[in-house]
Amino acid sequence: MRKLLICCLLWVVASVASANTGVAFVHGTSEQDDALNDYWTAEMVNSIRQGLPNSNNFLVVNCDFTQFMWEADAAGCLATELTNFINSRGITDLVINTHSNGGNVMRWIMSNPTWYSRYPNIISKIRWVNAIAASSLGTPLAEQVLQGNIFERALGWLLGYMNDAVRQQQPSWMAFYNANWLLGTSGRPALPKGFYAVVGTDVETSIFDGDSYCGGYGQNLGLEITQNFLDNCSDGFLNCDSQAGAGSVWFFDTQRTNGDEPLSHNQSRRRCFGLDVILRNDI
Amino acid sequence: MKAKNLFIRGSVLAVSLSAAIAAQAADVQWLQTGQQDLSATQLVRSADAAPLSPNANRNVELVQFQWPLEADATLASGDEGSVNESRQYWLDVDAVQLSKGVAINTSSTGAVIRVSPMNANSRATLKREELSLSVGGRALDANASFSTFANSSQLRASGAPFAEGTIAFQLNGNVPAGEITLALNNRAASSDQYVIHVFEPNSKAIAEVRTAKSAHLVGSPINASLKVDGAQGQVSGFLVSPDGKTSIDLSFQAGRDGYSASVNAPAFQGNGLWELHTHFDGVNKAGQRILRDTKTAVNITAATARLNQQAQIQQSFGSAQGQVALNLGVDVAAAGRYQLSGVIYGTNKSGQLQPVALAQSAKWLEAGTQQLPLSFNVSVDGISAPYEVRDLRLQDQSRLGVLHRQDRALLIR
Repeated sequence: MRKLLICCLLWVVASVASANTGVAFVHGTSEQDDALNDYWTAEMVNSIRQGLPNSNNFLVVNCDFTQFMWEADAAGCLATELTNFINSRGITDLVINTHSNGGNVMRWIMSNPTWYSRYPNIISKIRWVNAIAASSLGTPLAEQVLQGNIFERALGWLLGYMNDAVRQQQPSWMAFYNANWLLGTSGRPALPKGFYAVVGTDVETSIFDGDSYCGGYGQNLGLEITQNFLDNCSDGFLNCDSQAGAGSVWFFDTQRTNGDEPLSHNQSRRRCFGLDVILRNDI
Repeated sequence: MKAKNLFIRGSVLAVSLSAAIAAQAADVQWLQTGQQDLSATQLVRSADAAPLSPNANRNVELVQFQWPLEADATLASGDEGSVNESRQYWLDVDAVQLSKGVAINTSSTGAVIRVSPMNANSRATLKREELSLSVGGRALDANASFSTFANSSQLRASGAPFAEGTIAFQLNGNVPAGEITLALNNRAASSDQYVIHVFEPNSKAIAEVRTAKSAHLVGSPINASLKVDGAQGQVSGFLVSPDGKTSIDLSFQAGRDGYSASVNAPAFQGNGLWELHTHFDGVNKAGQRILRDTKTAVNITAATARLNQQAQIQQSFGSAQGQVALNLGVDVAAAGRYQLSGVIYGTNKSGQLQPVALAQSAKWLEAGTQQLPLSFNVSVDGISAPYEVRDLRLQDQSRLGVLHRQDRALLIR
């Protein structure tokens, strides 16, 4: 068994050593033009890309993920940015880190390779996807934000309904898309490449606990409140079963983070509790 | 530690003619559709098909892709329908009602209550000190009655776009279940409207709405059911179009297992999914009033194309070479980009069928009788004919429609 593991390790090392490795960061629900600073933070990205043989082989995607995942401004934009990155830097081995709804947009491309001829080329370059806090099964919060009273049928379209990505992330909507257009969830065929979930399990907020301040204390306080709308295991925005709902689980936060700290939905895109080092070492 | 898979799984099909070898004669046979399958018996007239949206996928090129599947993959069979649960309901009130007090009915302690101003112009900022709660006319100490309190900026930090001016709080365990009066003593204009959301995380009165299928063709029945644990009452409901402009009332009938309604799928409108909403108003065995709102999503597609039961194995790439290459006939009423996909099962050494590979192909098809290819690599040790193509689907990439789903579709010997 040990010999087998060593052989596998050597094979992996040999494969990666001959490749030109790149890493891409795919943001969640939002329209971004500076996701490096506004979504991920430069300290997070700069720490992770130090794991690359060539630390300049990185891409921070900026797209409009307030659209439905299949739209040209969403999956189309993501495919364009990934294709340009692959071509301009000669990437042959691509690790993709997604956060939240970014996992769904990435999964759209991997599940529907025939949508455009550039999709298969992207898939062929992917080593694997690290789906951090992915909203694979949606979130009850999206439903609760959108739903109005049954007798006010137009209300649903008044309370910020214009964001199609939020509509799409309602659990019953994601259930349909998972069963009919997306792969990798329970009972569905596997994706063509690995899709590894990182699951945030809790939100800790205490003014006496310095850990609560990583990622912003005010944001974490809000997440603790929205946890009331969710299961006992959640990161404040997503239930754990949603985060673990597609692909396979890489780790639950407390299994790997410094001090066994949980990662709230905001902290899982920031340099908190050694997440950046885990992702750096994964490259 | 994850065991990350580095194997290249996907492959674009590109087989040159020079590589082609005469194939062993093979026979392909269509299997009958089952009850949970989706198939069109009649196509829409091309003039009735919804026009393509400006952002529709108009890519014309043929793209094919396939990848192997694990032999022990457990794949669902058929459309399992749509289901959603609810421990919650919503109330619409105006500022006058809210200042006088609004009855909030709960069946458990620890309810989470959210108040959102509806009027875009008012955006009245709600404050904790403006809230008052009472039970049976007796005022409760607000500070002792609810614990967690959040304003809209804190709620929006979750990533969910809660309405500006929203407040939310959770009732403490010392506030009994039953009817509570919630009042808001602020200086909002009388025309201001609010939505009150009541979520009972600890309630056993769970409403479950279900549809028999998640994907429907226009004109086919949508069968819905609702159950509420431990409560009986009245149910109303409606089906609303993706753009919110069309709403169809549903008539629910009480039965032994809850409440049921059926409606024929209306014509397709807009991008996204239709939603089936229900409202339940009843009582539980303890005599408490139970209110529950539910909704679930369904897809409705106009039958712009269908598989016409024609299937050929391409003679140049037969199953003898480890490649099963099919051409399936498609009748097209409205031009669009159509995708064919399926999972091929092969016979293992034990004589059992097991998953081997998934394949997809898509291209632009004009109206008329057309074909789409579907090719599988079946060169797996220990796998041989007969093969079976399962989970065969025809989907419209231009209109996001599901046109055909067949659990067991083709037998190849």
